Amino acid sequence: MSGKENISKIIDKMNACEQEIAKAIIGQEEVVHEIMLAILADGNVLLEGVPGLGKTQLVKTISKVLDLSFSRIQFTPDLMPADVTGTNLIIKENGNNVFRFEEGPVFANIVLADEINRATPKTQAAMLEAMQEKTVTVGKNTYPLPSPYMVLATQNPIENEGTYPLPEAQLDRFIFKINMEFPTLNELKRIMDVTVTNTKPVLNPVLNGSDIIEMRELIRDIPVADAVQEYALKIVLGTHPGLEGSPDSVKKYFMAGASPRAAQAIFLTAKARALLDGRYNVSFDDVDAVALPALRHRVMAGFEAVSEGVNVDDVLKELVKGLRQVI
Amino acid sequence: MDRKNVELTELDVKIKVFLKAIARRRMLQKWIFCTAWCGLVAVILALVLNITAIFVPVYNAATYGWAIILAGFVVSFIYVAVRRTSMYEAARYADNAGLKERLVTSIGCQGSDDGFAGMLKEDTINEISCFDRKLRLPLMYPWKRYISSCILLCLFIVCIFIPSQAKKDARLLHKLAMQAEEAKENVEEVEKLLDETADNGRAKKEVAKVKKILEDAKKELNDAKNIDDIKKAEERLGNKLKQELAEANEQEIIKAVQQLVPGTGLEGLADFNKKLAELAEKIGLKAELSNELKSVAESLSAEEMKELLEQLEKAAGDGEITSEEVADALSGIENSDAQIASATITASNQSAEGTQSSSASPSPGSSQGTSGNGNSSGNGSGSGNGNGNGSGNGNGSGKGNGSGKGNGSGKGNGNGGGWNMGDGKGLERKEQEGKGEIVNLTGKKTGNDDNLTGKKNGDAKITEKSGQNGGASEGIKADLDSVIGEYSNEAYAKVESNKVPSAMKDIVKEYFSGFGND
Repeated sequence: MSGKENISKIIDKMNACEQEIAKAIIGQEEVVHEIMLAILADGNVLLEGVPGLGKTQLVKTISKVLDLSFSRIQFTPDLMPADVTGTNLIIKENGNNVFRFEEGPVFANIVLADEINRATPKTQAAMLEAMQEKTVTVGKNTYPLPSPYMVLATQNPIENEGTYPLPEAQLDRFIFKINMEFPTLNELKRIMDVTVTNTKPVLNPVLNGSDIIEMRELIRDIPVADAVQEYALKIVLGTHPGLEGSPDSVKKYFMAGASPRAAQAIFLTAKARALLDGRYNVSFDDVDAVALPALRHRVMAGFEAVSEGVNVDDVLKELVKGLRQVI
Repeated sequence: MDRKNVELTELDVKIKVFLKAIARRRMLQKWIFCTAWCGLVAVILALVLNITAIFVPVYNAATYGWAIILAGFVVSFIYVAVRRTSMYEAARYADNAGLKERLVTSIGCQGSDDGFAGMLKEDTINEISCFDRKLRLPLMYPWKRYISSCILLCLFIVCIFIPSQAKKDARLLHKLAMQAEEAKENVEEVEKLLDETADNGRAKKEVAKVKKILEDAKKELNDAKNIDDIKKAEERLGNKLKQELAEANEQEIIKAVQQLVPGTGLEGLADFNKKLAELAEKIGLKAELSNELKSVAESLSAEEMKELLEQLEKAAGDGEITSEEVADALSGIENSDAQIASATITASNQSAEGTQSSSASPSPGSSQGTSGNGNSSGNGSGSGNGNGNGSGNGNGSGKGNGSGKGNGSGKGNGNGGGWNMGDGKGLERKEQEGKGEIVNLTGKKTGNDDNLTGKKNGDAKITEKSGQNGGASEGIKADLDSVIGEYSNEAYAKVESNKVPSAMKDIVKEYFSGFGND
């Protein structure tokens, strides 16, 4: 167990990391912060936003700042699983033909799965093992992925043609689904200053893999009060329309609720948030802050929500607000 | 982990001290809110009660109102005392004020200062050291509720002083209830005593009779709608008990019941009746006089009864007692009932001996009306104070005289009035003692003049007046049967039309039917 000073040092590094990312990514501080939480919680992130918001740029920046290996997979409809995971190649070795596993782009600390919904479900499914078990199995061999490992995927919410919605099982493997909002006027100005001039931000690696692994271990020790635990779990249970006590809006608009993985996601990211905030305990505010990105992709909106154009986030906000009032 | 049994570390103790202070503040805040709520509710209730009391009789509504308000405050105290703020609650309270669940998490980590738990507690202590309770946890005062309570309280006070008929009624009803309750308590007490005294068969019978009377009385008391009803019920109870106990043999029962009819010597009544019976046997007292005496004795105290007996015995000294002597004996007792009875007996005597007295009237010119016997007729010149007990030697049949047996109001003519029209004050006697008008009875001379000591008043005129209403005032003659009949009919009609208890009806009917038999 690291001491207080060690923790403070790591917290400083994380803050420095965010500041470094901010050099290349104008605005989107909350998105960056949430990605940092996901990194500390050992989770994968699905970034959703309209084209041009800098999703890919953000991931690339993070990989540079974190001083970790980075690979990018551009998901296309003709992308095959082997193109992602790697494949066995027949090579000549000492005059003999032998099979050798050629690692795919998934073998990196940070994998950018760009426009992940453009690949077929078969190829998308190739990512399932990597995202959850951090391993790749080809033939009879299972290959571990480098640690720390995380997948940062992007998808475009408005182009539905030629896309394949991610299966629930895969969505559940993303610890956060982060919506990237359109920048404000000032942010746009600053983006212009950075991107359309010859001024190129110099990014320095701040964190390395070992720091991240150490922090991941640390945050698991952060205590959570009973009341806070109960609150987080009630939120997860509240997303289930079939359960007693869930709000009417959930019963009306949700078809399926979040899995226990959602609770794990909330706990871990809330702990990470508390630590980054300089606290050694999780507060209700921490839970509130991480509940939406942890739940919004894990609940399934029903027909009425789609037909009435109800936003899942709005229903979740109502749920969280309602529970917060009664605790 | 069972937090209660965990040994607290130094850091835990520091946090606990802080939490205690927070708990006190929390309790104070709770009490402020609770008082406001309870006070408001109590004032509303009190106001509603007193508004209701303006229209509906509610006894002591103001006192109850104040009691409700006081109870509201007491309840708020009790509630806060019972619902004490726990350490956990205090921690949550302070955490909400900006400590971000540090306290509640620290409580969860009590007993261990290792790793994050220690760091958390140190962090918590640092935070609470600069935690300004008054600033971060200011006491909130529900002013709206306080103001509302004050306004309603003013209305409540105003309501107290608004006079209304319902309030007067409430006081009267309360008085009624209290009296009824008191009467019932007395009855129940007597019932208990009776149960204790009923130790033999005879006593049991008597007790059963008395208890039935008491039960009836209780029913009447329960049904009483006003104070008059209660008084009447008590009066009827007393009368019934007197009647019932007049012949009671068990002194214990008499004693027990006596407390319900204070002022009467019930314990002596039985003795009186016995002695009267002996006396009657000895002196040959008429049954009706004996009964009259018995009934009169019921309203007499022990001393009065004793005095009456003495006078009767004295009167019976010569061996025979007359109605006049009985009347005299009764008149000597300072009791209105006795005096009425005296007058009644006197008038009765007159009635019974009307014809004789006429004939035995003194001689003409005596013009003495005599003492209310109405036998002032005759022509004799006797002294005129004859009591109408002449032996029938008088002249004239005296048909017009002595018609009144009762308390006749006849003035001076000795014509005793109707049966029951007396004023009950015994004043008739005095009036009758005045000089009676000389009435000459002519044509009906059935008596023997030789027996008269006076001189006949042959010049006197017989004056007759007839009356149908039995008023018999101014010497009007009324037919006895018609008078009785009219009064009886009227009495029957009254008792039937009014809400008179059946027992009382029987008494009234018996009373009048008794006249018919005579």
